[in-house]
Amino acid sequence: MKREIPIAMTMLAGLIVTAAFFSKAPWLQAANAELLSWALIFFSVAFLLGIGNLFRINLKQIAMRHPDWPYKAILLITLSGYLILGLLEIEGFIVYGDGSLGNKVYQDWIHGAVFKPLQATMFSLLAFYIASAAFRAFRARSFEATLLLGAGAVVMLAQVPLPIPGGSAIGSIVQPMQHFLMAFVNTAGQKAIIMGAALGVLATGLRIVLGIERSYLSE
Amino acid sequence: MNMLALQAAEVPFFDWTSTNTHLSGWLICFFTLAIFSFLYKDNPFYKIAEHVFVGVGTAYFALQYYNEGIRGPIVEHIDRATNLAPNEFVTLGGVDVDPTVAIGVRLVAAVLGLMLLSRVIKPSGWAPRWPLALMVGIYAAIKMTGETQSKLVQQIQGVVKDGGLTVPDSALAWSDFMAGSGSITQTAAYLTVGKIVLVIGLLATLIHFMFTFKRGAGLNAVSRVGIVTLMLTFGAMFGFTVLGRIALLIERVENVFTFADPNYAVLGESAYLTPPALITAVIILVLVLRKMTGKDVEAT
Amino acid sequence: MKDFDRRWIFLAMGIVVVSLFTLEKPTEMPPSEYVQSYYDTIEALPEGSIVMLSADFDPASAAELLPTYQATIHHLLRRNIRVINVATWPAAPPYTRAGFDEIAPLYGKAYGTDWVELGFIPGDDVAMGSIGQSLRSAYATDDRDSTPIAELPLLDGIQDRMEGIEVLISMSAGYPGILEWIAQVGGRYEVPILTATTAVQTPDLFAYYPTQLSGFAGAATGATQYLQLVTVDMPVAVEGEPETLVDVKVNNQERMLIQAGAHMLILLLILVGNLLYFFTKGSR
Repeated sequence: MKREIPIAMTMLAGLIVTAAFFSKAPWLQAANAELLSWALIFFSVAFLLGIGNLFRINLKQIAMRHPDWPYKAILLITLSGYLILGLLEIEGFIVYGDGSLGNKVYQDWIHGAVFKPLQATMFSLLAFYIASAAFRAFRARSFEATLLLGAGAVVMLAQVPLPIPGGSAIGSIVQPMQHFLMAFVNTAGQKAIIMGAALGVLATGLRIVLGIERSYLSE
Repeated sequence: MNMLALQAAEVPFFDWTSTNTHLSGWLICFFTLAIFSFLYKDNPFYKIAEHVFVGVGTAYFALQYYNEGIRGPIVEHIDRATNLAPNEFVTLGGVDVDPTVAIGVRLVAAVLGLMLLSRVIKPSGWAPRWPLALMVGIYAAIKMTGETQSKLVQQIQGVVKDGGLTVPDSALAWSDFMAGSGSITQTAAYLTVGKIVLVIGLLATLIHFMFTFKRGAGLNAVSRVGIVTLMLTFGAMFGFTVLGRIALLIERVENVFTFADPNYAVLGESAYLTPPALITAVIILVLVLRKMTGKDVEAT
Repeated sequence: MKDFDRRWIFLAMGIVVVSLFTLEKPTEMPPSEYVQSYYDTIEALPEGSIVMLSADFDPASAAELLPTYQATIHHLLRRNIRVINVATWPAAPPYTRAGFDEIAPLYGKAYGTDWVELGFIPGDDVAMGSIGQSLRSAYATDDRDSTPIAELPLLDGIQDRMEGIEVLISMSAGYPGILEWIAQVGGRYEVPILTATTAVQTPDLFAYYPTQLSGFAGAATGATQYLQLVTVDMPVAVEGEPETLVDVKVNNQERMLIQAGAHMLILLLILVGNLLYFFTKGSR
């Protein structure tokens, strides 16, 4: 029974949601709406579960005096501090001004002054790595690789103004090339990839909803 | 950039509703430059920024998931259903449902949510499997139905509707283009050729995907056209990836330069005393000292 | 080649971006048909109609999407179109709040009747399916101060299955984003969809335009072009005055030049890398 009940639940939920796609029967629509809300709840609980793990792992490393333990402490302090501030604000224990700016003012400030620069800069590092990869890895070793590089170069030149001598001449050549590449060749390639992936989703979805695929229940 | 000139002369030290203040300036510049320092070498500044990022980011996400995924659909939903007037109903997917039923059903979800949480105590227990099983079923079904319709049925319809080899009446005649009007991309000849390339490229790529078993010379040639189409597609994606990554870097540089305005300077209005200049100086100094004293060996 | 220190390349990239940054030279870009369609679709909406604007991005993609987001808010409010704001990315709602708090007063718009903030909804595809099927089931309260959504007058005209919503606009940075909106809402309920996307996602969109997607502003390029269209009849920027949309446009136009310099550097690196490769291969 340890496996049968979950499999039955998967099938039932999957069949209701699938049926609600085809039929507008009121009870089916109501059941579908409720099930989608359930999924949102489980999704959120699963995320909070992850935080529990984060705490456990970092506390353990601090206790064992891991070489990086002061940083782990910084992590836990910022995490708890922001969490407490946010909860107090959401639950209405602290209010900014007369409340007309809503109940996220303090959280938004930290988002803007700390989270935003950190996340944006983390991702902007990729600009440097892509430059390094351009030098070290992108080789025209074969006909296919040459095509790839050529298409990439056309896009890179056509997407920007070219304020160099002869720039407008280059522009008038690469612009139509890029248009053709994107509107027809890229569209063909993308459509094929999309259809292929959709077939995969359909096959996997059917296997799950019909109870054939059970690997998600394994340990 | 123009932002430099736009800062008001009086910069406040701190304001909860703005990040254009002295305190935010120092924080933003420190975190940005500390992350950039990783390009030279892993170092304590980067490590601090990295761990603050994980801490603050996780807390922020947790608050969002708590507020919108637990507080909203459980607490607020049940609260609202409890306080309805006697003849009012809860609407679920456009259907009026008796409040008692609505509350009861949602309480089941709350219990299932708790079962998922029981993983903390007993990771291999049976309880977390129930909500997990439901989640997988719902997710698979919604993905399967939506994507089959939009990415298979409507994609094929799209090719038939739009990829038919007809071109719009507004298309330019080739002779007009040669006479100097419009761009080549508006001509009927160009559009016709393009649409033929689209249909051939699509069919060839699909054939390349499907016939992965042993095949003859004819299919091989078609498959080759598919590969060419895919390579050009990947090339275009690569070009756009470069475009995107650089855009992020430019924004960061721009943001840091906002605080290089003398209005943000400490002790007098010199650009050398602004957050970006001072923080860069300190980071470089510390990195040089660490190299000289051999302290950064462990970091690599 | 193996012992080449890649930090020299990092330094070169840094120098190119920072040095071009000081040029401050805006360049006009002609709008593509896709951006023009994005603009025209919003222009064609009748006054008073309701649009759902989904913020599906985060700080890591704000560089590309925030300018278009701000311009879209201006465009919608200026045309007296009412906006329901949702988000499928947790880090997006602060941008919504900041944007509307700043822009709505310029057009005399009031919270609750002209725009509402429903905020982040977890669950990716499932969240979009839930919004599409029934906005009222998906959200219990708004995101501004937890007002029950039954008390928001703007939502009076909204029925289930997206009825009452004229257009869905997604500011999309990846998954979940525009492709999932098309799958879960566009296809099911036949709502016209517009999108602004990051560069990485832009090539995908050509496969959906124009049958499943009415227009798109892709990457920093699309953002610049759209900003030019929206700001055509706006007064020019004044130095020393608070930042306006025209400043955002000029700023984006200036960014394109830096972008060009960085692209040249990358092309040069590819070229030199290949020359070295063939040279050393030949000598071996």
